[in-house]
Amino acid sequence: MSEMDCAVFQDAAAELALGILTGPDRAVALKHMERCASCQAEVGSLAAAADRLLDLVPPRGAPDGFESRMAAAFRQSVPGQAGRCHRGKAACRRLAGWWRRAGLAAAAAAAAGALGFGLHQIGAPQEPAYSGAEVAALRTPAGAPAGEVAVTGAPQPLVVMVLNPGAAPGWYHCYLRTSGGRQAFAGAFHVGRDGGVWVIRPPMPPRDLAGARLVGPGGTEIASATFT
Amino acid sequence: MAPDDSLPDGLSDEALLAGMAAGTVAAGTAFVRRHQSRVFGLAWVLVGDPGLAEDVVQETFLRAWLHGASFDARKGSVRSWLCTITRNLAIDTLRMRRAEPVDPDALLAQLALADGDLSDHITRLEDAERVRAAVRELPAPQRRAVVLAAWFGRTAEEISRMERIPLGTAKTRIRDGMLRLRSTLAEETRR
Repeated sequence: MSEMDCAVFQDAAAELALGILTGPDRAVALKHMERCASCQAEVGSLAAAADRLLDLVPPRGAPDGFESRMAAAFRQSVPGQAGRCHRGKAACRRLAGWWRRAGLAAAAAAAAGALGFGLHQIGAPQEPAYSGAEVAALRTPAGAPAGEVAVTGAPQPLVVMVLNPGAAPGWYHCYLRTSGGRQAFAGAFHVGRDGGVWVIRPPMPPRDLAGARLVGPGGTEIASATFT
Repeated sequence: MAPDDSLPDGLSDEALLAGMAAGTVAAGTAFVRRHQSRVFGLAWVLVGDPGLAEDVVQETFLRAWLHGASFDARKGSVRSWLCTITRNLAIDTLRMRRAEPVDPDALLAQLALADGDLSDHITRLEDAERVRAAVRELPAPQRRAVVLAAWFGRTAEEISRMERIPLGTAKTRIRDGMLRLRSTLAEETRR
C-alpha cells in the first residue's frame, strides 16, 4: 500500500468525510489519518459539516409498533454473527451484563458530576461495576478533576470515559497512550453542556494502556489520565 | 442486575452501540427511539414510498444491531454511519425497482418545501434554514456534487459519469463545495 502525504490527503478529506471514498484510496487515506492528528481534525470538521446536511432531511414519525417490531427482530438475531465479532452467546450475555452495570454507573457518575466519587464506588454496594478494572482520574492541565477513565479486561476490553459537566461543548478527540510511549487515536466524540460518557474499544491490549488524553476544540489538551 | 428496559437516559450513541454489540435489546430500542425519525425521513425522501421506506429503515437498524461492533468512531459519527447504511439500502431498493433517484436539484427543492409542516421545533427549523442557505450559496456545479455525494452516496467516479465531467473535476467540485459549506456554516455559528 502506498503512502499518502498531508497535501494529497487534503484532496481526499472531503470524500472521506462524506463516506464516499472507496477501495484502495480509502485504505491509504485511513492509514495516513491514523498517524496524523491535523488530518484527523480536518476530516472531523468536514464530517461535522456533512452531518449538518442531514439536518435538512425532514424527520418522519415511525409507524405504530415499529419499535416493538425492532425489539422482536433484535431478540432473534445475535449481534456479531454477521460482523467481525465472533463471541459466543454466553460471552455476549456476560458482556451485556457488564455493559448494563457500566452504563448505569457511568450515567449515574455523569449525572452526579462524578466529583469526588470513583466509578467503582458508585457501582457498589450490591455488585462492583468495575470488578477487576482499573480506574484513573481525568485531570485538567491545572490538576482539576475533569472526569474518570475505567478500563476492563475480560470478556472484552473496553474503556469507559466520563467527562464531567462544565467542559466547553464541541468535538473532543480521545487518544490512548501505551507504556511504550505510543499514542493511538481512539475516537472523536461530541460533548454537550452536561459532559459525556463513552465506551471505546481500545486499539491495544489493556495491559499496555498507560493513560488517556482528551483534546478539545482547537487542538487544546483538555484533560489527561494516567494509570498507575 | 438491571432489567433490560431500565437503561438510564443520556447514554452516548457509542455507548448504546457497545450495548447493542453486547446483545442488550434495551440499548437497541433506545438507539432506534433516538434515530428513527431521522432515518425514516431520509429513507422516505430517497425512495418516495412509505412502505418501502419502512423496509429500508427496519433493515438499517437490523444491520446496526448486527454490525455495531464494527463501528469505528475515527471514521465518522454514528449518525453519518447510520445514514450511510440507509442511503445504500435505499439506493439498492431503487435499483431493484429499476428506478433512478430524483434529480439532486429536485431533491433540494423537495427538502426545502417539506420541513415546514413536518417539524414544529423552531430551533431545528432555524438550523435547517441556515444549512439550506449555505447549500444554496454554493455554485450550482458544486451544489449538485455535494448533494449527490451527501444524500445519494455517489462516489466521485459516479458523479463524473452522471455529470459527464472528468473525474478530477468531480473531485474538485466535491472538495471545494464541502470546504465552502464548512466555512459558511462556521461563519454562521460565529454570528
